[in-house]
Amino acid sequence: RMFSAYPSTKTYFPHFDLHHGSEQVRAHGKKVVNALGVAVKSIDNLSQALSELSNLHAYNLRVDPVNFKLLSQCFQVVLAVHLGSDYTAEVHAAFDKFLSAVASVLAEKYR
Amino acid sequence: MVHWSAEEKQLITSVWSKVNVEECGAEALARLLIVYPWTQRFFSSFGNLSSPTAILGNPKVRAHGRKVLTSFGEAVKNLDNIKATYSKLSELHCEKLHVDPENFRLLGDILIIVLAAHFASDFTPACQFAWQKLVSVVAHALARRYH
Repeated sequence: RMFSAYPSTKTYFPHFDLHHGSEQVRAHGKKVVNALGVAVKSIDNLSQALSELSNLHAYNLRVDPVNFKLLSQCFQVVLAVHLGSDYTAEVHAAFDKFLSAVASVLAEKYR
Repeated sequence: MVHWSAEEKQLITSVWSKVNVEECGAEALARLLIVYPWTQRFFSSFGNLSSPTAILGNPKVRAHGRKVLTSFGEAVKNLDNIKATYSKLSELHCEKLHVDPENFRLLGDILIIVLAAHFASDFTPACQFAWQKLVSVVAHALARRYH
């Protein structure tokens, strides 16, 4: 969804096949969601739990932080699509806050 | 002027035709106030905003949400002329309401999540693309007259 809704995000994946149904996209999406799972389990200690990923994004990947917001939006759209009315306002608020906190941690060593 | 492909126009208008403006508008505005509580700063006259339940049930929030989304419908009806459509509203939001344009972007994103929850898998990636573009254009048009 992110690559469809926000084409500029594709610039970080010139080495990927980005066609619909791409195995690379599926695998990478799974990787990202697994990392979010780690974050959920360490929600009170995100900085430490995501320290390696933080380094990776700061020194290696250097993805502009605006893109974290774009992925967050798409992730929430997917949650909304799947959960429907179960994606209540409170759940929405908590998730948006959580994803925003994860994004902050990922960007915290950028400069 | 914004270019809309025939497909984008179709995706926008077909989703819009199925939207319950009153419900969706109320939901979107309530969520804005819940997910981003600082946005409540514009609504001190609205009464009880003390909890998500209070906000969701607040009649002033619901009424205003409906008003905002009804206005959004004007963009859908005038896709080729959104700038002009929102010219006066832009001046209003700047000169009288003093609303930071960032709030238009926040509300736009929330509206999309509300649509996604409602339409589920019918809200396809292509649909989302067209609607993200629309909310971005509307936000831009509303900010255009700021000075």
